[in-house]
Amino acid sequence: MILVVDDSKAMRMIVKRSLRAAGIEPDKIDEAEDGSEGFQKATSQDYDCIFCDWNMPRMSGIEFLKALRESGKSTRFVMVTSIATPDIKETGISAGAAAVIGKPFSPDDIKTALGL
Amino acid sequence: MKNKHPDEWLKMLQTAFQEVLNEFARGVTNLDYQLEACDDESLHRHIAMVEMFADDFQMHVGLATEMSGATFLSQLLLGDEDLLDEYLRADALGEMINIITGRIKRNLLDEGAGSDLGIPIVIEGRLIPISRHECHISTMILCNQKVQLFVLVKPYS
Repeated sequence: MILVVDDSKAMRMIVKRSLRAAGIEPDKIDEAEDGSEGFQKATSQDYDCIFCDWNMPRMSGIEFLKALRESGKSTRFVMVTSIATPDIKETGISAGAAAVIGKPFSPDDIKTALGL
Repeated sequence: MKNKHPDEWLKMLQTAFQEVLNEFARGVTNLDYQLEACDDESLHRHIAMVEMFADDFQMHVGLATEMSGATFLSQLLLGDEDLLDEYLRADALGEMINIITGRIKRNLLDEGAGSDLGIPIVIEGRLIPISRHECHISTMILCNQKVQLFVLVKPYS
């Protein structure tokens, strides 16, 4: 099961389309509108991977990731950002992300991030 | 970093716009771009922009187009199969300019210059620059759709 977290419905649709192109079945994709909702979902059920936007209201992607790791969850976490600078990548990886991918991304980027 | 001439900012915007759209269109369609001589003084009604700033500059960077252009750009992002409504079209345009300005920020970093970005703003209506701001516009024809790329700046000095 994959969780897609982004405050933009358009971007959630783009990530879901890329996941489908990478071979993930639609009923295996769940979504959340911000880090807070994502955290609630991610701590109440097990996901194989979380794709999460960086900049979001209420709880940002990096806050979500840190809270998730503090809760003891080691779910594979992929940060998605429009500003994939070296600093941002290092911050994400240091906080426990498996990968930080820049927008726009290809289905191959998604496959790599999924570890497929 | 030192401020650039508006024409240089527009050139960076054109480059980032084409890079980003080509990546979205990859494997789906080939995009045809033409720069058109521009004497536009006002922007089209569907506008998406992001504030960019650093120590020595502050401006808004954006794109503007008419309804058919907004629909074309949104479908490019979301895919033809998706049903667009007003909210989703605005959301897609906001994401598009967010990604484009993210690309400009990264390209500026390659020049050794840092900058910050605001949140995307989407407007459906008429944008009227006020208070010493100048709107510099270049017009790009993309698959028969006219897209205005613009920077809204204080006068260059």
